[in-house]
Amino acid sequence: MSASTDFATFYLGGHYFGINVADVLELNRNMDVTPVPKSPKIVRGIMNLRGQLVPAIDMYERLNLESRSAKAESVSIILQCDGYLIAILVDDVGEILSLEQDTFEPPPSNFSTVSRELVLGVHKLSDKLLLILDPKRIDQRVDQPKKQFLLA
Amino acid sequence: MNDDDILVEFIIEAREILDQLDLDFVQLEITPDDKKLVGNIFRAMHTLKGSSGFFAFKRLEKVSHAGESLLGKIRDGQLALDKQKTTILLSALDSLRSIIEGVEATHAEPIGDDSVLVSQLLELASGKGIDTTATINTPPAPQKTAEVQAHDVQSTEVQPSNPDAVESATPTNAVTETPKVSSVTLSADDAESTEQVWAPDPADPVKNQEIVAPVKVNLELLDRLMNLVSEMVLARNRLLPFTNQFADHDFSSAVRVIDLLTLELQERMMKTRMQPISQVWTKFPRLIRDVSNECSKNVTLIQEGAETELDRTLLDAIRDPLVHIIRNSIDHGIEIPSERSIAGKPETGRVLLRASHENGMVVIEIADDGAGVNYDLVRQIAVEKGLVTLQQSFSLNDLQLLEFIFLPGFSTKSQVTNLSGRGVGMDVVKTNIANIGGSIDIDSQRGVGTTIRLKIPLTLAIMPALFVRCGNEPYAIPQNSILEMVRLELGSDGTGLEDFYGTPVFRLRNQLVPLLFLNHQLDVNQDKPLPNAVLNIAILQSSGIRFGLVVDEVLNMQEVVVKPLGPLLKGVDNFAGATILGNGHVALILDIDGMAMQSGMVAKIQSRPLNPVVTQDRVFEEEVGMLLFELAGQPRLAIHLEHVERLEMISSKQVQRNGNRDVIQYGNHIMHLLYLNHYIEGANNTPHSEDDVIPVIVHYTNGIPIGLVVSQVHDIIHVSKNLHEANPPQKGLLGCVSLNDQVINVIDLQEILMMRNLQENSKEYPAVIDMDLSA
Repeated sequence: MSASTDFATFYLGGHYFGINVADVLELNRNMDVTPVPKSPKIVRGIMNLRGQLVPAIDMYERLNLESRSAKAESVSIILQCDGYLIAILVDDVGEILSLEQDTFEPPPSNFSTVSRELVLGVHKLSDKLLLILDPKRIDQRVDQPKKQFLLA
Repeated sequence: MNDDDILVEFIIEAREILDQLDLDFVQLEITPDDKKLVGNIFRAMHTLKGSSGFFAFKRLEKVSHAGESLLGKIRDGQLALDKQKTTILLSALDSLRSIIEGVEATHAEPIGDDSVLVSQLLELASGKGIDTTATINTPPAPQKTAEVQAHDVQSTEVQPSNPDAVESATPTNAVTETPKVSSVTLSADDAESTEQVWAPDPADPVKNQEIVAPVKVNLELLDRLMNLVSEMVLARNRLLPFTNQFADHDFSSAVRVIDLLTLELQERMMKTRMQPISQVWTKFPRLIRDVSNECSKNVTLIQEGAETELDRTLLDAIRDPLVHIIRNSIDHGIEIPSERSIAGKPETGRVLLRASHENGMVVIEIADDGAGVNYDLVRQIAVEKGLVTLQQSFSLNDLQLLEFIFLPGFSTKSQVTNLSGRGVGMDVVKTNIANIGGSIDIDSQRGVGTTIRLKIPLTLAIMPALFVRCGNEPYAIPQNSILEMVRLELGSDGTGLEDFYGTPVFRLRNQLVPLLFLNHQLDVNQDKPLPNAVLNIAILQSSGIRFGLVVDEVLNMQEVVVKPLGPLLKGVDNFAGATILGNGHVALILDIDGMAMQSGMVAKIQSRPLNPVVTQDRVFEEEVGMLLFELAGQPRLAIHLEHVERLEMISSKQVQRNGNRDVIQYGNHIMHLLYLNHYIEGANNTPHSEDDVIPVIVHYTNGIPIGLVVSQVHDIIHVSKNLHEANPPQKGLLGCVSLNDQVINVIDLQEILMMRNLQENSKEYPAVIDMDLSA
């Protein structure tokens, strides 16, 4: 089967991620995020998307990434997930890639539990790896266990 | 369209038909000869039968068919409609309704036996009388039993009484055989008022059916549209400044058009959610008929202002409280006909429903001309229940006794009937009304009647809120939980704050008030107040506890649109929602109850009352709030707080001379200024220079603001309601009170307003009190 899927790609802490475009509503730059005190750590705050309140997810927290890059999180990707909207904050967006099923592999076993939960699999591109995220899992597991690294 | 959609359409249609039939039947009892109305009822029943047949709902089909047969005979003039037939037909409607509810819950027809009902309908249709001992048991809808509250007994069970008994026992039953009743009621009232007697002109009984059928729109879609419109308003606000920047004529006029369109769009959009209160009221003629028959009383319902509109969600919220209040009015209020004639009242009691808009709120009045509240009985029961001692009970006035009615478990009915007497009721009504930000008050006169007044906000989604700053973010506090704002200056050694078992407290007019620090509650920072600091404190009321919330800065008051935070942030209990500010920024709305609970302060205070003696006595000691202010030469004056709408500081430059009056632009109004020192003896004139800031007390008379100019506003005080009369009486003063050994004169605003009007209307009135002229 050689059905190809379109992925919206983005950069986060030096890693290269992709999400199925069907789940992506839109991209926004420099959105104003209002912090919500005492909220779960992965929720950076809420933002106003044309009159709708959308929770903004801190992907560094969610993926337990260390070391934020200098131009951290200037772009928010609005995802449609189980009937409501969430925004994930990312460093930068890449192009939209149309990828065949045959470059896809399940997540390597040396991934940490957190990332194995979120990462559906990996597309091996010519020069780098594209980690495919499952948008439905992003807003789950609000309580974090102790620090784990994306790559063990 | 799939089968489910068609079924949903059917349920909606069936419900509408049944609602309309309820009304039509009651109307038909009043005007039994109305052939056109019978025809309408027959057609409606026929439609219902037809659609039931389409879905193969056998029970629905059988009952509606039997009903149709009886109605057919009545329509053709072969049978006359009497009370027995109406009762049977109405019980058929109840039966149909409960089946429809069953269909709605399970998407299948509930199992049940309607054979008794059907055979009675058919027997009546064949011209025979019916077996009077049979009882029709309408199986209640499956989901209903759980929902029905004690005070909300639904008549899912109808027992047809002996037809002869009905006729003989209630010969004066006005609803049935006296079609004149309605017109009598109408002529008894002011002919110019907009009231609707529920008995429209018989010549045009079906007028309201000819209205163009409205389109049904999903509420969620409306909310979404509303969101978009408010965002469009924000986008327009960002666009407007560019017109000045570019000074391009074409561009400016295009923006102007957008501006106007947006404004109109917003107004229309707000209207879409508003629905007339008559939507709820349509059920009441039937309710009144049933309840009054049950207690053998004669009652007419009068409706005024049925076109008053309010938000859809609020309509749903007030339905049950209204039903309860109306039941109470008939069961407790209206006397039985014989008692009424002894009291010299017409035998037919009246229940008046009136809705109107007032100061941005909807006011709903439910008034009856019944016996009124039996204050002696309330007093007796209050003593029996140990709420007050016998001695205390005699010092209670009527208003205080009425408060007991709102206590849970308080009932003046010695016997529990299926209508009322369980003591569950007015407390639930009060809670429900309070939940939607409304208020309720009762006015009752022994022997004359009772009026219950509900004040409901126009819409739930928009509410006034006070913005405060904590850290770098603004937060909104709902206005209905704010009692007052206080500025507390701490001493250099940190005095001002005291410690009460670990809770910081401060003294406000000799009462200890516990404090919460917003920055601690929100984990913004853990800064403690420094010596000499000035604390901004919002005094809030939550769960019966008064406490102060310390904020970094008090910003402004604004109407906010409340938006839910969504599922991801459900677990965060400090916030009730969020709102979007004019600049597009999101601000969180504080959940005062949640925060007070979460802080643990509520439990602490409840276990150790802060002001034990004072709080208990307060209930029985009548106090009124007054605003303390100063005029030049009269340093201690007070005005009743109820006359004070707002306090404003205006600049002298804003004051314009209009004829012989000083006015300022105030919101959409021109506000007249009234210099109080012209009316109070002993007060001197103080000329204001250009740069002065003048404190003004804003008072509203009939919705028109008047600004009372004073020299300085001090504080709010609570003093005994009983004033010492000034001797000899002084112009413009009601009397005086003493507070901390100081005498404070209370001004008589009514008299002052009258003096002002006299002075303006009559040239002969001596101008001595106007210091401006004499100076």
